[in-house]
Amino acid sequence: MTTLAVGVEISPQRVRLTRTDLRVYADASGDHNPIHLDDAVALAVGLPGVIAHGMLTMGHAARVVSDFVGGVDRVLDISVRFTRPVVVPASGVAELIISGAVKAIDEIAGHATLSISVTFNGQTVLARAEARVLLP
Amino acid sequence: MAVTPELIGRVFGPGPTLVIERTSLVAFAQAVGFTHGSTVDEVAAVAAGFSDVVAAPTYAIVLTLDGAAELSRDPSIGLDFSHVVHSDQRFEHVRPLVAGDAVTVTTTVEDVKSLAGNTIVTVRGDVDDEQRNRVCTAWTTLVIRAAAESSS
Repeated sequence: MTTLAVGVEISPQRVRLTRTDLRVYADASGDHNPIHLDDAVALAVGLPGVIAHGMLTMGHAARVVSDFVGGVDRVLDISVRFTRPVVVPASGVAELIISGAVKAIDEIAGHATLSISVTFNGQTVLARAEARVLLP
Repeated sequence: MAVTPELIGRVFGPGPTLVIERTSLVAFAQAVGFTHGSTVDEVAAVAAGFSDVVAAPTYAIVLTLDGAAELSRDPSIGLDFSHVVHSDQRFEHVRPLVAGDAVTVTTTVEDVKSLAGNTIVTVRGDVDDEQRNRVCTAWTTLVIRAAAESSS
């Protein structure tokens, strides 16, 4: 585990999402909204195609934060705003790049605040993404 | 669309007691990329001091999204999920959720507002254990788009 200090960065992690990953997430989460599975439905509601569940993106981001801080139980609070869809092609992958940095440390509370960044095709897909974590 | 500010403060539940299954925790954790450690491996979880595998930080959505969906099943509300976009999500944990926990979810409509013809609903899902101690809270903000002429 990295020592947490303001400015320390989470080294960028690549996540490659396929349609299979969306089906696996749908089954594991119980979220079977067809906009994540069926192009016809996605197009009918005005999307450019099947998109990843926002919660799949957030789930990966939370995993990256967990690994960075040394355990899932250290992630006390995590919040995001979904600002742009992640379109996943029928064949091939959608590549996310997840990174972050320590923004603030509260020694008295024993917490650190991390900012989280997730980009897809060079554009950010989350806003106001941060986590409050327990200091070691 | 019948989502109105009068809904603010409305409480659904607590719902039925749900026992957190290890297989569900592991499947969810694997689906968001965990390959090792306390979320997917019971031995690692016990070695880290837990009684069983631990939930991924966003697992509670599995428990709380149903409460948000409850809004769509209430005929007096008529929230049409085909026009809903998930805009914000937050989880706050008091303690990690562990396999074998028996929990209930209470859903509260925390905010309803209109913006540019869309309705924005924030729903809070409180997950409590058998001793009625808070385990975690999930806030979900949904944007119900105005009945579109056509967006494509």
